[in-house]
Amino acid sequence: MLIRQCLEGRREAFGELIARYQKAVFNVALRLVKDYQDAQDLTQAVFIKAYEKLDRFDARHKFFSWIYRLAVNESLNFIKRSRRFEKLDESADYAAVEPTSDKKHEESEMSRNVQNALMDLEIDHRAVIVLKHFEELSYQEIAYILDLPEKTVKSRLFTARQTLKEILIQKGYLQHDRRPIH
Amino acid sequence: MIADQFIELMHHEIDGANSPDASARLQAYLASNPEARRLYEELASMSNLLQEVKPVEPPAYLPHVIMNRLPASRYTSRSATNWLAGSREWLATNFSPKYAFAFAGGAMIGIVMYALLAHPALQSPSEDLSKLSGTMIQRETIENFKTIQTLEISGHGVSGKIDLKNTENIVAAELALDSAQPIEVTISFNEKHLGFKSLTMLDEAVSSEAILIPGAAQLTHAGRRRYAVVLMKKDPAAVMLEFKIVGAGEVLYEKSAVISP
Repeated sequence: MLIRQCLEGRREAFGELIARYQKAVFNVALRLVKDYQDAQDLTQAVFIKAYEKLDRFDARHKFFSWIYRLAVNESLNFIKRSRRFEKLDESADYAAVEPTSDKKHEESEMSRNVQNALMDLEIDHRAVIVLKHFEELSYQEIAYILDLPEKTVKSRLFTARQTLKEILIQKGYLQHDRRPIH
Repeated sequence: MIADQFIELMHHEIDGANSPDASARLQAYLASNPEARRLYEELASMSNLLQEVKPVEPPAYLPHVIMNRLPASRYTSRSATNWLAGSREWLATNFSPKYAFAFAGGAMIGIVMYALLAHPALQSPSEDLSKLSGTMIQRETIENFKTIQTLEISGHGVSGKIDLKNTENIVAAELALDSAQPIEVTISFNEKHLGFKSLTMLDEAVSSEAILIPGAAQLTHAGRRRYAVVLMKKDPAAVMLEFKIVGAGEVLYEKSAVISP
């Protein structure tokens, strides 16, 4: 309904879509790229792209799955672009840049620990963890968002979980005797 | 040694995707295999840890920023489309050279009128409404207004108070804030009843800026400072102000106040 109204030229209908989904898009981007400001920029880029492509939206899918798909793609492309940039500028001290980018975004210590561990995962693994554990999406929805067969989503998720568990234990954020460390 | 099929069942169990039969098989297996039980408990514990990570609040101004950045005329309204289609149809059946001359004449007159009206001498200076700062009302004047209501702010990394002041034509909110971390303060109001006039720093000679978005003024604050936000009344009705303070993506304070005439 809202999409049809947007396509008929009612911009305020798109404002309603932004209001509904901006928090989800922002959090997906934040968990994937870690930086609060980058997550804001990505959220803007995602909605602008969604608006531009709205007439090509396939109504057989849910809008939220589609917007998640845009959010993940935009974030993964951003990470790949950033990596290329880092490689080009080998003198750049990434560790020195990190605290500055986190200035505006202070979460609980536990959330920061989890986020740090997430950043040690490969980006493909990070994406499935974020979509499954933070966004609580089904295998089928994740398969559509990542454009993968459901079977691949499961195997990737299982590997990602195993790796993340090891990282959390190695960093001392999770104990072998099952208790999370806060 | 853990059989692969049970590792898969463990992950499905964590995702709530196992049938009752599969769950029962897994539980029986875990009871008989301490290594498998340990792995399952670690995975479950990690899943619980991830569940505890709460979503972060995006900045309140983000929707407005996105709306402002949308392409202006990506989708044409239906009425405009119908009008264009109708015009095309009419021209196709009724076109005559006299209409072309009439259109050209009208266009010429239009161009001349536009050139006259758009002359710089006739223009008022344009205003940039994206950032406004206050110098319109003297701070001493604001401080002398009578306080009608005080809202206390305490805890959650920010403290202070908001004094609400009211005159015949003006509503002012005097904010005294103390926060170690940067916080974003949003003062929302109904544009039918109130219009933003100014933001003034009360303690220091330096200026501060408010970002004005539809129906709200926002400022970013850190440290210990006092501000006055002044709003002009558009009618004598009771007005409501809503205050929201967000820090580190979390709402630290939220309160609304009704100011009677």
